[in-house]
Amino acid sequence: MLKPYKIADYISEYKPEWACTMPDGCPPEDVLVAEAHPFFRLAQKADAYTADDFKSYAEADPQRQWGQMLPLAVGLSLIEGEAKARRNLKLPMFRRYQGIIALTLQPADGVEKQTGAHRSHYTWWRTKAFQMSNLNMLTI
Amino acid sequence: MRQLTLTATLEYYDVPQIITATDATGTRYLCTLYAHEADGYRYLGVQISEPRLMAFVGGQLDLRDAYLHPEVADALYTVSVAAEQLMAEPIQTADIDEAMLPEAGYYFDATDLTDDADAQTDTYQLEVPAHDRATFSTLISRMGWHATSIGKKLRKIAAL
Repeated sequence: MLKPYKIADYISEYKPEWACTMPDGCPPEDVLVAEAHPFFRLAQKADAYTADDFKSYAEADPQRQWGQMLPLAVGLSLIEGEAKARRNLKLPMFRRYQGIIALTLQPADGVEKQTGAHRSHYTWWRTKAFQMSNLNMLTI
Repeated sequence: MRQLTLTATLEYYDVPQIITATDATGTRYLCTLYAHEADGYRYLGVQISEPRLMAFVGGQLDLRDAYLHPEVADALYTVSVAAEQLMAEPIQTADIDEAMLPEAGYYFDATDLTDDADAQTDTYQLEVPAHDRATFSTLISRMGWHATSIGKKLRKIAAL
């Protein structure tokens, strides 16, 4: 389930320590908080996820001038629905990716918001409380 | 090299994966991310007509086919995106590496668009022969489109 939250209320209740420095106005005022909600994320390896699978573009490339893209670049994409995640594997950037990670996010893991043209796409602003354990790898 | 203007982000995953852009002449480009370099992102762009772009957005055109079978010769470009500037440079088909192309079978998911994306409409001006008036009325009714008659061309404007 995804529960609507004001970011100020989330911060007050969960006192998050964000995974990276957040720019002003990020995460946005209106967010969603996952309560045992399933999402999918693409993985580089078939049988194991790594820290690189959870590194945002802004973390990986902090010198780049992101401009208006910065709030999304410090987040991570999540897909609601396995089939929709699999379709992205056909795109050039993901042709070398070999796995799909099934995540079940909890409130302390961070906040989410639907972003992009598709209803199934969310941006996840991750906290340091997120643990890379108990994730499932799906074969492709 | 020509400068492009971003018009839409169609597919987003961590960064924009599929975008559309136009150049100064209004020509449309469908661009798919294939690499990120130290100096910016690289997209493979193809010049594309409005009807073909609509076919892609409608989920009826395989993204790979848009690149392998462009509508005109010399339609392919590499598009570099850096500091929010899009620059397109022609590329020959022979110079395209397989890794720059999407796999076969990527169809844009038009059934999953947000309300904002759904709300986008296109406006056309058509000339419909008078003898097709009933067919045209039936078509727009069945498709749920909206049409407004803006004039009639008469065979004779006036008898002088």
